[in-house]
Amino acid sequence: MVQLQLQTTPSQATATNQWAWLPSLRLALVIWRRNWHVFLKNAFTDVTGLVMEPIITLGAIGFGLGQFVGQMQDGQSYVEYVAPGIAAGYAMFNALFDSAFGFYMRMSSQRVVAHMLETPVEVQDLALGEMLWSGTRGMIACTIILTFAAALGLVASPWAVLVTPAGFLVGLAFAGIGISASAAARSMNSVTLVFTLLATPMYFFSGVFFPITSLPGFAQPLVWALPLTPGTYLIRGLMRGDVGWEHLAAALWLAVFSTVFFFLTRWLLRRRLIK
Amino acid sequence: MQPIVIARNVVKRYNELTAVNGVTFAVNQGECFGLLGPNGAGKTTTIRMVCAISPPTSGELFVDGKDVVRSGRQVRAILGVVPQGDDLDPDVSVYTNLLIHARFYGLPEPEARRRVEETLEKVRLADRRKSEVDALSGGMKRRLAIGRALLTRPALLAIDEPTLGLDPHNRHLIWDWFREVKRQGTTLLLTTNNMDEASALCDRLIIIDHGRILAEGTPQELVGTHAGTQVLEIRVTADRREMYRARFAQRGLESYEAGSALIVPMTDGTALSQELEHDGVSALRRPATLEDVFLRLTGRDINEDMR
Repeated sequence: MVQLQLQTTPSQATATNQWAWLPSLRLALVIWRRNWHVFLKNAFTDVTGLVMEPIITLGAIGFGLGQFVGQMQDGQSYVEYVAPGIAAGYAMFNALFDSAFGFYMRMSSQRVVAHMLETPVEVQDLALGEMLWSGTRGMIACTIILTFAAALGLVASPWAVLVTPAGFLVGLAFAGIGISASAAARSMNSVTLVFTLLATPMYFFSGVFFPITSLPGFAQPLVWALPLTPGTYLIRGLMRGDVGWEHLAAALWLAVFSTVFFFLTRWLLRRRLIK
Repeated sequence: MQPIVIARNVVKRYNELTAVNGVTFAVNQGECFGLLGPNGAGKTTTIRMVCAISPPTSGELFVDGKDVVRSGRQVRAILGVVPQGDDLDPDVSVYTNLLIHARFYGLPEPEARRRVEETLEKVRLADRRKSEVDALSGGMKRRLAIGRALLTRPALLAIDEPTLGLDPHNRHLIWDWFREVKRQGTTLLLTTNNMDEASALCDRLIIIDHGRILAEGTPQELVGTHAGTQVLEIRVTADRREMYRARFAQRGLESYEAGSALIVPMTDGTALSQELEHDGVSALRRPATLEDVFLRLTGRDINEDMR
């Protein structure tokens, strides 16, 4: 999917025109690095924000509410059940937060994106770079929660090392949603709709806090189609060490979802930015 | 040598609005080419199309022999672009702004860092390398934006209103850089509505209004053709302006209004100015400038807009 474009001579340029829609991984990584640099600069505030909320949730819901829940169907304690869900949920929130609000700012008032498009960067490089970055944010959040859960003895299997790339996949899927929302939004206020209409309902109905088998039958295929359900399923399986082909399918679904959203993102950004 | 920019009948429409209405021009390698025109004339739109940022609605536009729509990435790779206003990155330092820019053009890291140092010295911001962009003054930001565009040693430097709102020190400093890079072979394309800037820098200009080219030539040619050698600048009250215009017209002299002044282009204004002084009207006789060309070609419409 990705083509590396280094120095192109004019003759090559004509030859590569039919592939002109392909993103340049090199340029996408320059954009990624720019965002990583800004993240490191604000690391203390960013990481504190990143860590505190999920830990509070895990403490209050997992340990607090968990005492009243007792055991889950398959013998897990409630806190063991809920920890992977929170990891997936915060991969989602972090990726969305950056791709929706953060990117919207970079695109509108800050004009960071406008400058990129004056350089050899094309819209597809921008879409890829920003998606990879938001995916990384999801991965970081997921890994921090994994580490914390491991310290509390809530991780049962070495498969859990794969939670980090799984968090990246969840982040990537939501980055696609967030950037598309930013590109389509008319104002910062409309960007918030992604949270109220999508992220918050998903957080509560995607198997983070209770199995989706408790949902009415018609709703179950619907929540599987949205990326947090396969994400939670995948991360839960990895933390528990109970891994099968269904988990690979969940990972593939996230990859397909992200790829489709890459093209949607590219189209929406083009419509908004190339005038 | 083939011109670095070739524009043939280029049109840009935004829904109802036609911003650029069929412009044809060529920019030669190594010259400084100016787009002169009032606000809203289509200068910015034109320069954005040349820079492969905004695709033309119709017409042909080539930069360095490449189509701006089909080979946008390749076109932008040889350009240095300074847009109007400020699009510096507020989240990173002065130094990092330059470094990230260098990376977009694929410069190897050591070379990129070397050029960043060189640029910081050049734009006199070496002691502000760690500053946030928002802490810089307007002049510093502009110097940084221009230095950033020059860092990649572009074949064509495109600048939208290079010195808008700057003090004379910064303005002259920036003009000097432009002359220097031009000596080194860089082509310059700039938009301006500052006549001093156009006269000081441009080898050739086009005057644009309402998305159309009204005149083209060197500053001297334009002044000679459209403003004559001298002008009389007369200040009379609004009610008497029409009367004087009629009087001049009787003698075959064209005149036009510029703000509250009435301007009469002519070859020798001695007799007329004496006559006007006799009437008790103060008439300033002065050599014609590019500003007179500008006012004459674009002024009437501005007056209509303001009515």
